[in-house]
Amino acid sequence: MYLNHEQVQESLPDYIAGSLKGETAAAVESHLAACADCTAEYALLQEMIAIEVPDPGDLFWQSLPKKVTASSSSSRPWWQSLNTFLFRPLPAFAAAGVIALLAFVGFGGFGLLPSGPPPQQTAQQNETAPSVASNEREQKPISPQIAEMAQALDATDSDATLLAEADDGIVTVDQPALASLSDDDFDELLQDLKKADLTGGDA
Amino acid sequence: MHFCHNEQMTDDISLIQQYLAGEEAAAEELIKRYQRQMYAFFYRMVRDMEDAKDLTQKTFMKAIGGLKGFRGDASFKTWIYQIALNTGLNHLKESRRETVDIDDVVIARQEGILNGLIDQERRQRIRESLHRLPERQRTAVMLRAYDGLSCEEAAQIMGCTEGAVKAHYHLGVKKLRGYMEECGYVSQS
Repeated sequence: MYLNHEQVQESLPDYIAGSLKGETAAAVESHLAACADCTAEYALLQEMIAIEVPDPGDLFWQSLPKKVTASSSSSRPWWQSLNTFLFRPLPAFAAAGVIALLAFVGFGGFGLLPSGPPPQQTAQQNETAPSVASNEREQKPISPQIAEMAQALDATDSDATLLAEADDGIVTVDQPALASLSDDDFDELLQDLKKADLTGGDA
Repeated sequence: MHFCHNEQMTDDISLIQQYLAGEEAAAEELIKRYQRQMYAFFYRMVRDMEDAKDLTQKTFMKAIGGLKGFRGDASFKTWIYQIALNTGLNHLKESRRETVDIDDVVIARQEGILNGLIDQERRQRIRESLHRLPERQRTAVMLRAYDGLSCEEAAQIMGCTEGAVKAHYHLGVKKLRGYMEECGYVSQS
Protein backbone atom coordinates (compact mmCIF):
# COMPACT_ATOMS: atom_id res chain seq x y z
CA MET A 1 0.00 0.00 0.00
CA TYR A 2 1.26 3.44 -0.91
CA LEU A 3 0.31 6.73 0.79
CA ASN A 4 1.48 10.06 -0.57
CA HIS A 5 2.78 12.96 1.55
CA GLU A 6 -0.63 14.58 2.10
CA GLN A 7 -2.34 11.28 2.93
CA VAL A 8 0.33 10.54 5.51
CA GLN A 9 -0.09 13.96 7.12
CA GLU A 10 -3.85 13.45 7.26
CA SER A 11 -3.34 10.03 8.81
CA LEU A 12 -0.88 11.08 11.52
CA PRO A 13 -3.50 11.67 14.27
CA ASP A 14 -4.97 8.21 13.56
CA TYR A 15 -1.49 6.69 13.53
CA ILE A 16 -0.72 8.26 16.93
CA ALA A 17 -4.11 7.14 18.30
CA GLY A 18 -3.25 3.58 17.15
CA SER A 19 -6.37 3.26 15.02
CA LEU A 20 -4.45 2.45 11.82
CA LYS A 21 -3.93 -1.23 11.17
CA GLY A 22 -1.78 -3.46 8.97
CA GLU A 23 -0.71 -2.10 5.63
CA THR A 24 -1.86 1.46 6.32
CA ALA A 25 0.21 1.73 9.48
CA ALA A 26 3.21 0.22 7.68
CA ALA A 27 2.85 2.71 4.81
CA VAL A 28 2.87 5.63 7.29
CA GLU A 29 5.92 4.24 9.07
CA SER A 30 7.90 3.82 5.84
CA HIS A 31 7.01 7.37 4.75
CA LEU A 32 8.01 8.83 8.13
CA ALA A 33 11.41 7.17 7.83
CA ALA A 34 12.03 9.00 4.56
CA CYS A 35 10.23 12.38 4.99
CA ALA A 36 11.70 15.04 7.38
CA ASP A 37 8.65 17.30 7.03
CA CYS A 38 6.24 14.59 8.12
CA THR A 39 8.59 13.52 10.92
CA ALA A 40 8.64 17.11 12.26
CA GLU A 41 4.84 17.26 12.16
CA TYR A 42 4.58 13.88 13.82
CA ALA A 43 6.93 15.07 16.61
CA LEU A 44 4.90 18.26 17.17
CA LEU A 45 1.65 16.31 17.40
CA GLN A 46 3.17 13.88 19.88
CA GLU A 47 4.44 16.79 21.95
CA MET A 48 1.00 18.41 21.94
CA ILE A 49 -0.68 15.22 23.06
CA ALA A 50 1.92 14.69 25.77
CA ILE A 51 0.98 17.97 27.44
CA GLU A 52 -0.75 16.84 30.56
CA VAL A 53 -4.11 18.06 31.66
CA PRO A 54 -4.29 18.66 35.44
CA ASP A 55 -6.36 16.02 37.19
CA PRO A 56 -9.29 17.49 39.14
CA GLY A 57 -9.12 14.55 41.57
CA ASP A 58 -11.06 11.40 42.39
CA LEU A 59 -13.76 13.28 44.26
CA PHE A 60 -14.73 15.08 41.07
CA TRP A 61 -14.78 11.89 38.98
CA GLN A 62 -16.83 10.01 41.56
CA SER A 63 -19.34 12.73 42.31
CA LEU A 64 -19.96 13.98 38.76
CA PRO A 65 -22.15 11.07 37.53
CA LYS A 66 -24.32 11.24 40.66
CA LYS A 67 -24.63 15.03 40.52
CA VAL A 68 -25.73 14.93 36.90
CA THR A 69 -28.24 12.11 37.30
CA ALA A 70 -29.65 13.67 40.48
CA SER A 71 -30.25 17.00 38.74
CA SER A 72 -31.70 15.36 35.64
CA SER A 73 -33.96 13.03 37.65
CA SER A 74 -35.57 16.05 39.33
CA SER A 75 -36.59 17.33 35.91
CA ARG A 76 -37.79 13.94 34.63
CA PRO A 77 -41.51 13.20 34.26
CA TRP A 78 -43.12 11.58 37.30
CA TRP A 79 -43.79 8.25 35.59
CA GLN A 80 -40.10 7.78 34.87
CA SER A 81 -39.24 8.56 38.49
CA LEU A 82 -41.88 6.03 39.51
CA ASN A 83 -40.25 3.48 37.24
CA THR A 84 -36.93 4.17 38.88
CA PHE A 85 -38.48 3.70 42.31
CA LEU A 86 -40.34 0.53 41.43
CA PHE A 87 -37.45 -1.11 39.68
CA ARG A 88 -34.99 -0.57 42.48
CA PRO A 89 -34.23 -3.97 44.02
CA LEU A 90 -35.51 -3.27 47.56
CA PRO A 91 -38.97 -1.85 46.72
CA ALA A 92 -39.37 -4.63 44.15
CA PHE A 93 -38.84 -7.29 46.79
CA ALA A 94 -41.07 -5.44 49.24
CA ALA A 95 -43.82 -5.12 46.61
CA ALA A 96 -43.52 -8.81 45.76
CA GLY A 97 -43.86 -9.66 49.46
CA VAL A 98 -47.00 -7.56 49.87
CA ILE A 99 -48.56 -9.08 46.73
CA ALA A 100 -47.76 -12.60 47.96
CA LEU A 101 -49.27 -11.84 51.38
CA LEU A 102 -52.45 -10.45 49.83
CA ALA A 103 -52.76 -13.49 47.58
CA PHE A 104 -52.19 -15.81 50.55
CA VAL A 105 -54.94 -14.17 52.59
CA GLY A 106 -57.26 -13.65 49.63
CA PHE A 107 -57.16 -17.32 48.59
CA GLY A 108 -57.74 -18.59 52.10
CA GLY A 109 -54.12 -19.27 52.85
CA PHE A 110 -53.93 -21.98 50.21
CA GLY A 111 -55.63 -24.38 52.63
CA LEU A 112 -53.17 -23.68 55.45
CA LEU A 113 -55.41 -21.28 57.34
CA PRO A 114 -58.67 -22.52 59.05
CA SER A 115 -61.46 -21.57 56.69
CA GLY A 116 -64.45 -21.97 59.07
CA PRO A 117 -65.38 -20.54 62.48
CA PRO A 118 -63.61 -21.64 65.70
CA PRO A 119 -64.26 -25.23 66.97
CA GLN A 120 -66.83 -24.20 69.66
CA GLN A 121 -68.91 -22.46 67.06
CA THR A 122 -68.74 -25.52 64.82
CA ALA A 123 -70.14 -27.72 67.60
CA GLN A 124 -72.93 -25.27 68.26
CA GLN A 125 -73.64 -25.12 64.58
CA ASN A 126 -73.87 -28.94 64.47
CA GLU A 127 -76.55 -28.89 67.17
CA THR A 128 -78.67 -26.39 65.33
CA ALA A 129 -78.01 -27.94 62.00
CA PRO A 130 -81.24 -29.98 61.79
CA SER A 131 -83.48 -26.99 62.50
CA VAL A 132 -81.53 -24.92 59.98
CA ALA A 133 -81.89 -27.77 57.58
CA SER A 134 -85.61 -27.96 58.23
CA ASN A 135 -85.85 -24.20 57.81
CA GLU A 136 -84.16 -24.50 54.51
CA ARG A 137 -86.46 -27.25 53.43
CA GLU A 138 -88.94 -26.36 50.80
CA GLN A 139 -92.18 -25.07 52.21
CA LYS A 140 -94.97 -27.31 51.13
CA PRO A 141 -98.65 -26.32 50.98
CA ILE A 142 -100.35 -26.46 54.39
CA SER A 143 -103.78 -27.81 55.10
CA PRO A 144 -106.65 -25.31 54.81
CA GLN A 145 -107.58 -25.85 58.47
CA ILE A 146 -104.21 -24.81 59.77
CA ALA A 147 -104.13 -21.84 57.44
CA GLU A 148 -107.49 -20.73 58.74
CA MET A 149 -106.27 -21.03 62.30
CA ALA A 150 -103.17 -19.03 61.55
CA GLN A 151 -105.32 -16.29 60.14
CA ALA A 152 -107.59 -16.45 63.12
CA LEU A 153 -104.64 -16.05 65.44
CA ASP A 154 -103.76 -12.84 63.59
CA ALA A 155 -100.14 -13.54 64.05
CA THR A 156 -97.87 -10.61 64.60
CA ASP A 157 -94.10 -10.33 64.58
CA SER A 158 -92.56 -11.81 67.67
CA ASP A 159 -89.20 -13.22 68.72
CA ALA A 160 -90.75 -16.26 70.32
CA THR A 161 -92.36 -18.55 67.73
CA LEU A 162 -93.88 -21.95 67.77
CA LEU A 163 -93.04 -24.20 64.90
CA ALA A 164 -95.64 -26.58 63.65
CA GLU A 165 -95.37 -28.74 60.63
CA ALA A 166 -98.31 -29.31 58.35
CA ASP A 167 -97.92 -31.91 55.62
CA ASP A 168 -94.16 -31.47 55.93
CA GLY A 169 -94.60 -27.75 55.45
CA ILE A 170 -93.80 -25.12 58.02
CA VAL A 171 -96.14 -22.69 59.60
CA THR A 172 -95.16 -20.19 62.21
CA VAL A 173 -97.55 -19.22 64.95
CA ASP A 174 -96.84 -16.40 67.34
CA GLN A 175 -96.61 -17.60 70.93
CA PRO A 176 -98.37 -14.54 72.46
CA ALA A 177 -101.23 -15.00 70.02
CA LEU A 178 -101.43 -18.65 71.08
CA ALA A 179 -101.53 -17.67 74.72
CA SER A 180 -104.42 -15.33 74.14
CA LEU A 181 -106.63 -18.13 72.82
CA SER A 182 -109.62 -19.11 74.92
CA ASP A 183 -109.74 -22.65 76.32
CA ASP A 184 -112.28 -23.73 73.73
CA ASP A 185 -110.30 -22.33 70.84
CA PHE A 186 -107.13 -23.93 72.17
CA ASP A 187 -108.81 -27.36 72.51
CA GLU A 188 -110.14 -27.04 69.01
CA LEU A 189 -106.68 -26.24 67.70
CA LEU A 190 -105.19 -29.17 69.60
CA GLN A 191 -107.73 -31.57 68.18
CA ASP A 192 -107.07 -30.36 64.69
CA LEU A 193 -103.38 -30.87 65.20
CA LYS A 194 -103.98 -34.37 66.52
CA LYS A 195 -106.07 -35.13 63.49
CA ALA A 196 -103.24 -34.00 61.27
CA ASP A 197 -100.75 -35.89 63.50
CA LEU A 198 -98.52 -32.87 63.74
CA THR A 199 -97.88 -32.76 67.47
CA GLY A 200 -95.07 -35.27 67.41
CA GLY A 201 -97.13 -37.66 69.59
CA ASP A 202 -96.86 -35.58 72.74
CA ALA A 203 -100.38 -34.35 72.81
CA MET B 1 -8.41 3.06 6.68
CA HIS B 2 -11.05 1.54 8.84
CA PHE B 3 -12.39 2.91 12.09
CA CYS B 4 -14.75 0.56 13.80
CA HIS B 5 -16.55 1.94 16.83
CA ASN B 6 -19.73 -0.07 16.28
CA GLU B 7 -19.37 -2.12 19.44
CA GLN B 8 -18.95 0.94 21.63
CA MET B 9 -21.80 2.67 19.80
CA THR B 10 -24.20 -0.25 20.33
CA ASP B 11 -23.19 -0.40 23.95
CA ASP B 12 -23.87 3.32 24.41
CA ILE B 13 -27.27 3.03 22.75
CA SER B 14 -28.14 0.11 24.98
CA LEU B 15 -27.27 2.24 28.04
CA ILE B 16 -29.39 5.09 26.70
CA GLN B 17 -32.37 2.75 26.27
CA GLN B 18 -31.91 1.45 29.80
CA TYR B 19 -31.83 5.01 31.13
CA LEU B 20 -34.95 5.97 29.21
CA ALA B 21 -36.67 2.91 30.69
CA GLY B 22 -35.99 4.36 34.14
CA GLU B 23 -32.59 2.99 35.12
CA GLU B 24 -30.48 5.87 36.41
CA ALA B 25 -27.38 3.72 36.85
CA ALA B 26 -27.15 3.44 33.05
CA ALA B 27 -26.73 7.22 32.75
CA GLU B 28 -24.03 7.14 35.42
CA GLU B 29 -22.17 4.49 33.43
CA LEU B 30 -22.46 6.60 30.31
CA ILE B 31 -21.02 9.63 32.10
CA LYS B 32 -18.15 7.60 33.56
CA ARG B 33 -17.18 6.52 30.06
CA TYR B 34 -16.80 10.02 28.69
CA GLN B 35 -16.14 12.31 31.65
CA ARG B 36 -12.33 12.29 31.32
CA GLN B 37 -12.43 12.96 27.59
CA MET B 38 -14.89 15.80 28.10
CA TYR B 39 -12.91 17.38 30.90
CA ALA B 40 -9.63 17.22 28.89
CA PHE B 41 -11.41 18.70 25.86
CA PHE B 42 -12.66 21.62 27.92
CA TYR B 43 -9.39 22.16 29.74
CA ARG B 44 -7.54 22.48 26.42
CA MET B 45 -10.18 24.85 25.21
CA VAL B 46 -10.51 27.17 28.22
CA ARG B 47 -7.21 26.46 30.04
CA ASP B 48 -8.82 26.70 33.46
CA MET B 49 -9.53 23.74 35.72
CA GLU B 50 -12.60 25.11 37.48
CA ASP B 51 -14.15 26.30 34.24
CA ALA B 52 -13.38 22.94 32.64
CA LYS B 53 -15.07 21.12 35.54
CA ASP B 54 -18.14 23.35 35.34
CA LEU B 55 -18.38 22.98 31.58
CA THR B 56 -18.03 19.20 31.83
CA GLN B 57 -20.88 19.05 34.32
CA LYS B 58 -23.01 21.42 32.25
CA THR B 59 -22.43 19.34 29.11
CA PHE B 60 -23.48 16.09 30.77
CA MET B 61 -26.56 17.75 32.26
CA LYS B 62 -27.58 18.93 28.81
CA ALA B 63 -26.81 15.55 27.27
CA ILE B 64 -28.59 13.41 29.86
CA GLY B 65 -31.50 15.85 30.04
CA GLY B 66 -31.85 15.70 26.27
CA LEU B 67 -31.46 11.95 25.81
CA LYS B 68 -35.13 11.69 24.82
CA GLY B 69 -34.23 13.68 21.74
CA PHE B 70 -31.27 11.47 20.85
CA ARG B 71 -32.25 9.82 17.59
CA GLY B 72 -29.26 7.53 17.25
CA ASP B 73 -28.36 8.76 13.76
CA ALA B 74 -24.85 9.47 15.01
CA SER B 75 -23.03 7.85 17.90
CA PHE B 76 -23.48 9.12 21.45
CA LYS B 77 -19.79 10.07 21.37
CA THR B 78 -20.16 12.50 18.47
CA TRP B 79 -23.44 13.75 19.90
CA ILE B 80 -21.87 14.63 23.24
CA TYR B 81 -18.89 16.25 21.51
CA GLN B 82 -21.34 18.40 19.56
CA ILE B 83 -22.91 19.56 22.82
CA ALA B 84 -19.46 20.09 24.35
CA LEU B 85 -18.23 22.14 21.41
CA ASN B 86 -21.26 24.43 21.50
CA THR B 87 -21.08 24.76 25.28
CA GLY B 88 -17.36 25.55 25.18
CA LEU B 89 -17.62 28.07 22.34
CA ASN B 90 -20.51 29.85 24.07
CA HIS B 91 -18.46 30.01 27.24
CA LEU B 92 -15.50 31.52 25.39
CA LYS B 93 -17.76 34.08 23.72
CA GLU B 94 -19.29 35.04 27.05
CA SER B 95 -16.08 35.26 29.00
CA ARG B 96 -13.67 36.53 26.33
CA ARG B 97 -10.86 36.70 28.78
CA GLU B 98 -7.27 35.78 28.82
CA THR B 99 -6.58 32.85 31.05
CA VAL B 100 -3.41 32.23 32.96
CA ASP B 101 -2.07 28.72 33.31
CA ILE B 102 -1.67 28.75 37.07
CA ASP B 103 -0.97 25.03 37.07
CA ASP B 104 1.92 25.53 34.68
CA VAL B 105 3.42 28.28 36.84
CA VAL B 106 3.15 26.07 39.93
CA ILE B 107 4.70 23.10 38.14
CA ALA B 108 7.53 25.31 36.81
CA ARG B 109 8.29 26.61 40.30
CA GLN B 110 8.32 23.14 41.71
CA GLU B 111 10.68 21.83 39.08
CA GLY B 112 12.96 24.81 39.49
CA ILE B 113 15.51 23.64 36.99
CA LEU B 114 16.48 25.12 33.66
CA ASN B 115 15.40 22.15 31.58
CA GLY B 116 12.06 22.05 33.28
CA LEU B 117 11.51 25.73 32.62
CA ILE B 118 12.46 25.34 28.97
CA ASP B 119 10.08 22.43 28.56
CA GLN B 120 7.45 24.31 30.43
CA GLU B 121 7.82 27.34 28.25
CA ARG B 122 7.66 25.17 25.19
CA ARG B 123 4.39 23.59 26.36
CA GLN B 124 3.09 27.04 27.12
CA ARG B 125 4.04 28.18 23.63
CA ILE B 126 2.24 25.24 22.02
CA ARG B 127 -0.92 26.03 23.95
CA GLU B 128 -0.77 29.70 23.06
CA SER B 129 -0.15 28.84 19.42
CA LEU B 130 -3.16 26.57 19.44
CA HIS B 131 -5.30 29.37 20.81
CA ARG B 132 -4.09 31.77 18.15
CA LEU B 133 -5.66 29.56 15.50
CA PRO B 134 -9.01 30.52 13.99
CA GLU B 135 -11.85 28.73 15.75
CA ARG B 136 -12.61 26.12 13.05
CA GLN B 137 -8.95 25.22 12.57
CA ARG B 138 -8.38 24.96 16.30
CA THR B 139 -11.45 22.73 16.69
CA ALA B 140 -10.31 20.45 13.86
CA VAL B 141 -6.82 20.11 15.37
CA MET B 142 -8.19 19.47 18.85
CA LEU B 143 -10.70 16.85 17.72
CA ARG B 144 -8.26 15.06 15.43
CA ALA B 145 -5.00 15.30 17.37
CA TYR B 146 -6.04 15.43 21.03
CA ASP B 147 -9.24 13.46 21.02
CA GLY B 148 -8.24 11.00 18.32
CA LEU B 149 -11.52 11.33 16.46
CA SER B 150 -11.77 10.31 12.82
CA CYS B 151 -12.41 12.82 10.03
CA GLU B 152 -15.94 11.45 9.76
CA GLU B 153 -16.64 11.97 13.47
CA ALA B 154 -15.06 15.44 13.48
CA ALA B 155 -17.19 16.37 10.46
CA GLN B 156 -20.38 15.29 12.27
CA ILE B 157 -19.41 17.29 15.36
CA MET B 158 -18.44 20.41 13.44
CA GLY B 159 -21.38 20.12 11.07
CA CYS B 160 -19.31 20.15 7.89
CA THR B 161 -17.88 17.73 5.32
CA GLU B 162 -14.90 15.45 5.87
CA GLY B 163 -13.06 17.41 3.21
CA ALA B 164 -13.59 20.62 5.19
CA VAL B 165 -12.26 18.94 8.34
CA LYS B 166 -9.14 17.80 6.49
CA ALA B 167 -8.60 21.32 5.14
CA HIS B 168 -9.10 22.97 8.56
CA TYR B 169 -6.80 20.45 10.20
CA HIS B 170 -4.08 20.78 7.57
CA LEU B 171 -4.09 24.60 7.72
CA GLY B 172 -4.21 24.55 11.51
CA VAL B 173 -1.18 22.29 11.89
CA LYS B 174 0.73 24.30 9.31
CA LYS B 175 0.05 27.53 11.22
CA LEU B 176 0.99 25.91 14.52
CA ARG B 177 4.35 24.91 13.15
CA GLY B 178 4.75 28.44 11.79
CA TYR B 179 4.02 30.03 15.20
CA MET B 180 6.49 27.71 16.89
CA GLU B 181 9.20 28.52 14.38
CA GLU B 182 8.51 32.28 14.80
CA CYS B 183 9.43 31.87 18.44
CA GLY B 184 12.61 30.00 17.58
CA TYR B 185 11.36 26.56 18.47
CA VAL B 186 12.09 23.66 16.21
CA SER B 187 10.41 20.30 16.41
CA GLN B 188 11.95 17.93 18.94
CA SER B 189 12.31 14.85 16.81
